Amino acid sequence: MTHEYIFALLLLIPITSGILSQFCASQTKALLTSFTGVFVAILLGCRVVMMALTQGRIFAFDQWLFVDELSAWHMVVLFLVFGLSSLFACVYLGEELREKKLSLQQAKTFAGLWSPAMAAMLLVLISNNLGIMWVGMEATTLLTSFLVCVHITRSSLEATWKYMLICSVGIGFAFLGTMLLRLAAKDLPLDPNQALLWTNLMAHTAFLSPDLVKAAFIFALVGYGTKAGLAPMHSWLPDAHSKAPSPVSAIFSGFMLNTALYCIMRYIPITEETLGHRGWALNLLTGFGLFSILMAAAFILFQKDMKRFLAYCSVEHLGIIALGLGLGVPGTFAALFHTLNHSLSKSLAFFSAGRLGQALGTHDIDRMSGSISISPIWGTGIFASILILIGIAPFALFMSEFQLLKAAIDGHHMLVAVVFLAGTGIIFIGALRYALPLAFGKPDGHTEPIAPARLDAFLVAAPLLLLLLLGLWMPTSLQAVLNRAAGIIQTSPAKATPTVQTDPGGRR
Amino acid sequence: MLDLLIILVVLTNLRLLATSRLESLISWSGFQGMLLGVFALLSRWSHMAPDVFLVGVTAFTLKGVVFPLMLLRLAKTVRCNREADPYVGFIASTIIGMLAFIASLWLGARLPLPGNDMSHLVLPATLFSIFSGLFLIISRKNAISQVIGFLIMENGTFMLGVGTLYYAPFLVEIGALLDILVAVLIWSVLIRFMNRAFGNIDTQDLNKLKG
Repeated sequence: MTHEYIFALLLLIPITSGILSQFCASQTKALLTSFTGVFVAILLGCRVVMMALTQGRIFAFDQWLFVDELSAWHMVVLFLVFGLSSLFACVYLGEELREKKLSLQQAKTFAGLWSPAMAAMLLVLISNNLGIMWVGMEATTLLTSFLVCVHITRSSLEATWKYMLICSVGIGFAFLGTMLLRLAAKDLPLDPNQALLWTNLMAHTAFLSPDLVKAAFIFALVGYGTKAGLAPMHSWLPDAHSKAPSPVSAIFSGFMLNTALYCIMRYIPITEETLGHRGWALNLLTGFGLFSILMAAAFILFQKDMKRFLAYCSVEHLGIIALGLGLGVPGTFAALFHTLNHSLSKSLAFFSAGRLGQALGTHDIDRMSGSISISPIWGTGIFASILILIGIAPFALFMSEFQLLKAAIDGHHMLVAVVFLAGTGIIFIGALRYALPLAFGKPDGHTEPIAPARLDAFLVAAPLLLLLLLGLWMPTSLQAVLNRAAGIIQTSPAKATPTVQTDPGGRR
Repeated sequence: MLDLLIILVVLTNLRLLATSRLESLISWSGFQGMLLGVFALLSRWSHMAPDVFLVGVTAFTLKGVVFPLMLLRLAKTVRCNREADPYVGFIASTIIGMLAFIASLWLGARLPLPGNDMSHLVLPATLFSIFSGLFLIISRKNAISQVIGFLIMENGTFMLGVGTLYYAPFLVEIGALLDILVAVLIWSVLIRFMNRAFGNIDTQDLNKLKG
């Protein structure tokens, strides 16, 4: 198979399965059709990832699509999150079906948007053309908006409205950023069809207009940052995360935010190279990162709703990743590792909170207390995931936060290290205050215990074991991949320039 | 000619800031959409090609005809004809709009575009459109007014694209236009749901989720 076929199938399979699900006669069939598409795409995607890791960069469609180590790494995280979330959706929506709370129309809405949303996120990751990347990012907003209000209530409509409006405005800013970058490259002798290619822009950073690149980076950072939930543009995030069905919250927090941050990662090297590695873009990222951590710390202390608490946790962790990106190569290495750790632990947290909330009929933290006695599996899941999220050793998330702190101290960013420690320290104490009664407290009223199932145990055990394993031992091959991916974001001043295509038609 | 079109776009922005009737707000945004469609065709006239032509015509049809018709029908369905009580009054909005235009001119002059041989008003007008759109979103309570704010913002970015580049990849421009079409479709459905659940389309009622 040529690369073209593989890339096309990778996008078409999930979209087709979403469309096919609309013709199914029952809820189960519709959902299974959509999930099948997700898993087939994951299998194919694994092949693409392997190809990229063994052969280096692979291109398709006139270089408009490509996969390099950075996108391959994000694809791995995407596949893990989507695979686990699809399995969890079987559990979660299966229960809704048993309780007769999911109509055929609702199931079709969910199935019809679930797998295409994956395709949209994949499109963002494999786009070499920054314009197409933007189109993909906007498509993720559009496709996921009705996933938030599968069950139409006043509050879910409010959350959807805020999500659509704020993210569309943000993405509008990102479009302006894309346009400004295109203008910065206007004088280059490039074929206009190739001028927005990330690889071409990277090869010509010496000729880009610095002022326009700066303006483009600011708009891209604010625009994609809105979608990534960086403070102070995060206001949509707690609402959408708390009101969406839990499998949707899991993909939002577990990967959609990272997709937006990935777009910013592509803008970093262009900006830094154009401005002569002065650290201008990196400082902005550090600032946004620290502000997000502090903002999350301030809000986490006063949360009453479990899913809102987890949503603020996402603001914190996306802030941590942004902060890492601002700290040079070692920080970026830690940030990329943190992406996987956060996505895995946050998915597990939303799975557990969702399943427990479903049984209890509420996501109120006080009323969820004693969750281990209601369900040993999901109770352990929520307790362990909160502990992991606040950075308990020896899990992998502790390791990535530790690496990040080390990067800050080694780089003599003492103020950054202090603020980072203060923010995460507040969150540690605040979250522990919730976690202990949540796990071991006295259950509020009488609730039927959740019957344990094998799939439940797998969904809790798999992320936990993976996080524990990666915390204790990091394979050298993984280390090498992360190093290469970090090298794509943090280029060194002297670097070879790849060949580019020149403009055959003279159109500009 | 291009300058004239840009000035008309700026004037429609000011008109939008001063309008209280929803119907005329929608019509004026449609008029601006038509202006941009014509602008997209004229600015690239010397480099015309089938795909460039298609972008201009699609922009004219979507921004100038389809979106306004969809929104007018929507306003009729939800029986809403007026922005009753905006956060910022209409006269104050106009004055703020004029000040913002002066600021856009100043900012536009500070950011020179390389090799720009079309019109020097493009960048200030783009910035002003983006400001006007954002201002409509934050100062109006009516959901349809907010959607129009978003469309005006998008119009600004579109103008920057077609007003400075003779050719942008076709798929990107069409992709962006189609994304906006889907966004407007989603908004109309969402506003209908909101009207059913709340009995009106006032976003002031969307205040239950806090903290």
